[in-house]
Amino acid sequence: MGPARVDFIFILILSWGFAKGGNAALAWAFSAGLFMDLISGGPLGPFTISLPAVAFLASFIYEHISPSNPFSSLPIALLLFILYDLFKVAILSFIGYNFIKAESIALITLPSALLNAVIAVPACLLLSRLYRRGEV
Amino acid sequence: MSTIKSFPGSGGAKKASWRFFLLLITLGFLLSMLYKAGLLNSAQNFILTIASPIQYGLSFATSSFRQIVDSLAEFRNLRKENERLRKELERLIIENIQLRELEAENRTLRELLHFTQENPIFDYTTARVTARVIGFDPSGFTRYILINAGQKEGIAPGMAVVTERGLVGRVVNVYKNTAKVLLITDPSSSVSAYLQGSQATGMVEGTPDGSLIMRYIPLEAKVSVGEIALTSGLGGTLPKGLVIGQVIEIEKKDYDLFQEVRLKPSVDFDRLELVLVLKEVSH
Repeated sequence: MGPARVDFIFILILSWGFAKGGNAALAWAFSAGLFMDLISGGPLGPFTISLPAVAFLASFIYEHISPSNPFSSLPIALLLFILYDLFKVAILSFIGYNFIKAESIALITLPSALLNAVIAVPACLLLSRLYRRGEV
Repeated sequence: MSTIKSFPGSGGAKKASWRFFLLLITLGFLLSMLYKAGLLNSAQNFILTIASPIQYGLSFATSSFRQIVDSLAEFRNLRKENERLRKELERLIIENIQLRELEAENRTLRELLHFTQENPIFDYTTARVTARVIGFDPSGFTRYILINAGQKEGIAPGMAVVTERGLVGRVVNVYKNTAKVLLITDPSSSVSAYLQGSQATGMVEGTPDGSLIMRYIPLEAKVSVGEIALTSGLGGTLPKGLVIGQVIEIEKKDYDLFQEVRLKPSVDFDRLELVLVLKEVSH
């Protein structure tokens, strides 16, 4: 319940978006998000919509930028996590949960973004290797 | 170099379709609106009925694993001694609060005795339902927990959820086997309260950092650090006298209409495992 939290689903969806991409990644992101929303106890929508957006952006970024250095996923993951949380805040506001202030984003999003981005680097590498090994 | 070659940026990722993405987002918003309208309650009820035993198992496993890690990390004797002293301190604090409350209550009851004898009204008894916390909201923006007690156990929206240390929150949604509890630390939570020492009243609201703020305290009230905040019972949903937290900071400005204080919650929300749901039964 502390401010910085590891979001394993985000890391998994991001890594898959980087490694494999495609519509399958979007479908899995949507399913995972729906499941998270339904069992978490929170309102329905934040994860169902944000996770496919992350998967799509990850896939889009790697399709167009094609970075050669694996560590370039660090700033991308950082940016995507911030966008992911902003999406969640926007969707929560859309649902009618208007209690989130700017300080929430500073307190929760920024430390979590850093933590998840650091974990995302080896996760992306590992998943992309596993995927490629499976492909060969 | 092999690392660089194997990185997906070299062209491994497949293209995600814009159309499919938009379809999923539209579907997501549609589901969200249906949820908001309350049309997905039965679907959520069904999923939670299936998922709650799994969540219960995972919660139990996580809790057991954490206990093992804790045991390894600390010296055994030191831990035992610390635990004993902590419990003793908690017991004494709670006993002290209860005694003070009883003293005040006794005074009031003496005054009301005559009235109540002549005007019999319905009374309340408190039943307790012990429930295990089986899920947290992972977003960090909202603060809910799921407990493994629901309609079957007679849980209803509005019921207070507590631990031996104080108020946890209130039930907001009830499903067949589970219930959703809005924690008092959620920014949308608002609890009518009073401070034990100064008897100042106000509203306790959650904050994003997990602490609590008591607002709308009259400026003339003499509040001091260390005072205990308790539920006032106003509003009718929460019973009076549940411990909420302790004053750690006072913010008072001459030009404001009210003063506000920051509270440290009495409940450790990071280690919530078992909670009690207070059922109010009228006779």
